[in-house]
Amino acid sequence: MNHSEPLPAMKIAVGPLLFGWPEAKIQDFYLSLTEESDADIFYLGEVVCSKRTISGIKWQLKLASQLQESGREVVLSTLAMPTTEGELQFIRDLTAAAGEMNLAIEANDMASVAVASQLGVKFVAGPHLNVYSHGMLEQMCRHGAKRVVLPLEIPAKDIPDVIGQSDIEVEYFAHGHLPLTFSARCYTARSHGLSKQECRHVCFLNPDGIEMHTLDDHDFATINGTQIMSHRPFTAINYLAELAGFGVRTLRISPQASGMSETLRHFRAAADGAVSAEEALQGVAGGRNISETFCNGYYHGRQGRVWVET
Amino acid sequence: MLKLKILPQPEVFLQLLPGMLQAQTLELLLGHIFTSSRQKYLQPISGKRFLFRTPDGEIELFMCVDHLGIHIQPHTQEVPDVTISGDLMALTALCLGLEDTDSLFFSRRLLLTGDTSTGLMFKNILANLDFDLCAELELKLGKHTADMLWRMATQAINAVEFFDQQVARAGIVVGERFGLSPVEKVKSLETQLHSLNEKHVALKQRLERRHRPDRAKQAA
Amino acid sequence: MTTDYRKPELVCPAGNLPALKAAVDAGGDTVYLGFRNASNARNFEGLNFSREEVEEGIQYAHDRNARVFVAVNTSPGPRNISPWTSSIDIASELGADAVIISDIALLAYAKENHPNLRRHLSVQASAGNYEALEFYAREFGIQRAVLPRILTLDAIREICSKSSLEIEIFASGGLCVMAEGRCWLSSYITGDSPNMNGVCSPAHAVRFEQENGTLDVKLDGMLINKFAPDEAAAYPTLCKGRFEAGGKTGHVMEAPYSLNTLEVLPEIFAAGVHGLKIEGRQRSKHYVRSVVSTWREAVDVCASDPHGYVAKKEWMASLNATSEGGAHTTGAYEDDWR
Repeated sequence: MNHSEPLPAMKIAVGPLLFGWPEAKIQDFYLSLTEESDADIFYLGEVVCSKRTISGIKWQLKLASQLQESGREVVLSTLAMPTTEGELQFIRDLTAAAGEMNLAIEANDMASVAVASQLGVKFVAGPHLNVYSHGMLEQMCRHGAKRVVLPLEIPAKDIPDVIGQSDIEVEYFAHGHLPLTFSARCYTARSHGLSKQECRHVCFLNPDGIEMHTLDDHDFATINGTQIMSHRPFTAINYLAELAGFGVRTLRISPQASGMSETLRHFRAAADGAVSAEEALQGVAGGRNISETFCNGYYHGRQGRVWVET
Repeated sequence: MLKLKILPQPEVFLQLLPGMLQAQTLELLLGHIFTSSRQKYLQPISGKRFLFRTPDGEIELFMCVDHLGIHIQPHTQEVPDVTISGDLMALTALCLGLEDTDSLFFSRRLLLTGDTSTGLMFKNILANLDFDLCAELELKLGKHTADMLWRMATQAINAVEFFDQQVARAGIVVGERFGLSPVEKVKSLETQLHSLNEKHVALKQRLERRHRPDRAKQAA
Repeated sequence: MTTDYRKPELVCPAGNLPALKAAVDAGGDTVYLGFRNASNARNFEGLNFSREEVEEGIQYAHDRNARVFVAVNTSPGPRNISPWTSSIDIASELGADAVIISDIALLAYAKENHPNLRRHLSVQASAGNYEALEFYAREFGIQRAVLPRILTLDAIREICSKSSLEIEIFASGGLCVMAEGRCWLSSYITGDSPNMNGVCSPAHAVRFEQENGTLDVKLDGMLINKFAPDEAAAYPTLCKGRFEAGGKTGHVMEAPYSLNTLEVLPEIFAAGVHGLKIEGRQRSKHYVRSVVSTWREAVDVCASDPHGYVAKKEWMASLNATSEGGAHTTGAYEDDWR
């Protein structure tokens, strides 16, 4: 890849924090990124478990306005699997507040799409809404989506066909532990011998989740409350030119406890063509063996966990 | 000598027969199942090789499928694509579609090693065949085939009884092979024949009921 | 205040024609099935129906006052949508009683092209709240929704009371502990997923190996389960595998139990559920006949006397005998599971 070729402008988005952290840690994390990075978009809000929203929405809205003041686009992310009236109300309140602040929400469930379209609030169709086809993309646009995040497992070569002639902004999950699934059961609580009902917020003790290996010692997954994530972070940092060519305009970097601002810097440099794809990849690897650290199988339409050399 | 007037179910025949006859009978039965009208169903596994074996390795039947149909032989040097292991009842239940094979897998009576896709395909091809084997053997092939199969079975029983007498005369106790003396083995088979016959009668009744058009429906 | 009890219909699985006939003969009110392609979430080798088989199946069921639902419940990729749309077209043409769909684009297609064909929302759509359900009802005219297996009975009751839709829940069989339609565990390991390929742990990636009675289960070369010689085996799905996490080894996600809600049947009746779904399109006619017979009896007994209803031991034993792992759970329906 010739890094002197200018790429179409790519926005860098900090995805919603998927892990369970205490409020103060979340605040520090996002605020420090406003200083240490030039990410264009911040997604903010609990996606995985409503029990982590104990502090309500006020502090989140305050943080959102602080992030806004730094000149970034802020999107309020919503729960992926709301099942109770309380959870639905949380989504309604958050969406209404987003409307008042002139922000969009990230809809991670059709309930959020419904609420947003009723309230006339713009939304980003999150990665769990399964926009696998152009038909799905059009449906999302029809209901008021301003941006669509593609499903994680979609092969990159399929992206142009999903976009078709649409001019909607398309975001690609470009880096981080892959959020693979949601359950009713809390696996973090379970691994601590607790139930979801009485979880004592043990996820706060595991800021990067809990590793899960196979019996023959293959790396497999990361437990994150009711969610199972890939153990290996996915990265497409060495495919940004190709992604731009496929029509992707926003790159999502999913938060993790350490190295976030460095990762964002490498992405920015790669997206701007300031470094080569290979240099950027070496940069996020930070000296680690790439094929043993990252996965990119989904990019190539393969098993998600594998690393495919270019 | 045993005097049974019923036609026992196919897996019982198989259990009664020595290796070579088992292969021939299984081939006969599978051959009947995949008669020319049903042979098209074998197309997805054409060229595949299957090994059926009991866990003790006592019985091994090798099956290959080609455009002419199914061929079964005992003993082979060929490497199978799929090996299906289980006791004879489980194996025949699979081949003849007599029981739920997933349940046999869960209860560890049936195991599929090698190419799982081909094994699953074979299982589902058999499960998809919409016919009653026993009824066909009786009704379509007529009394002749049923009688022939029955003769084979009784001959096998007679042989076992004869062997038992010879053994008794020689004052030797064998039969550990089955965990039963040959006479006990025959008796247990006799019991099984009876219980299977009861099942068979129940099945027939169900079939008759099924064909009654005025089945009472439960309205919600 | 007296409780209203609704007697739900039994919605039974069929992976082939013999299973369909067994389900109808055993007293199933409705059979659900799929075409032999990636358009449905049980796209296994040799399973499912050809057009002719669907036609015969519908004839057989309708002659006996039973209904047939056709599942078209995976997501078409961006290129060739025709296996999905033609499945819907054929279902309509052959007189299916409903199509079960998860993908919004397909719902829109069905609504536009076959407005009189009932549309049910598949469990693969992961709609677990009435707000989402009402959205599907408003926008795509669905008449029924199948709820994901992650809800409590309380949540189901609330959805039934607040939603205008008929509600169908899973009553028996395999237990997906994850929100269906939002689970990529299978494709992460094997490359194939329920959403895109209609399969979870596809057979091509599965290998069984047994030595000294111990059964190893490998998925794309990774050891995902180990069964002791006398232990009941289970399907090779990741969520029911054995792993190591936090210094402990075992069923980190879920033990291989099957869902069995016989013991909470009166509560399900009281919730106002319209359909009880029995999982198992991959199973044989023998399984279908046995499980549907048991459920037919249980539902009839419960309907005649919901207060006096007790799940009979022989029903439980009969379901356990054919179930994955040889044991059962009420899953997420009861709070203590979570």
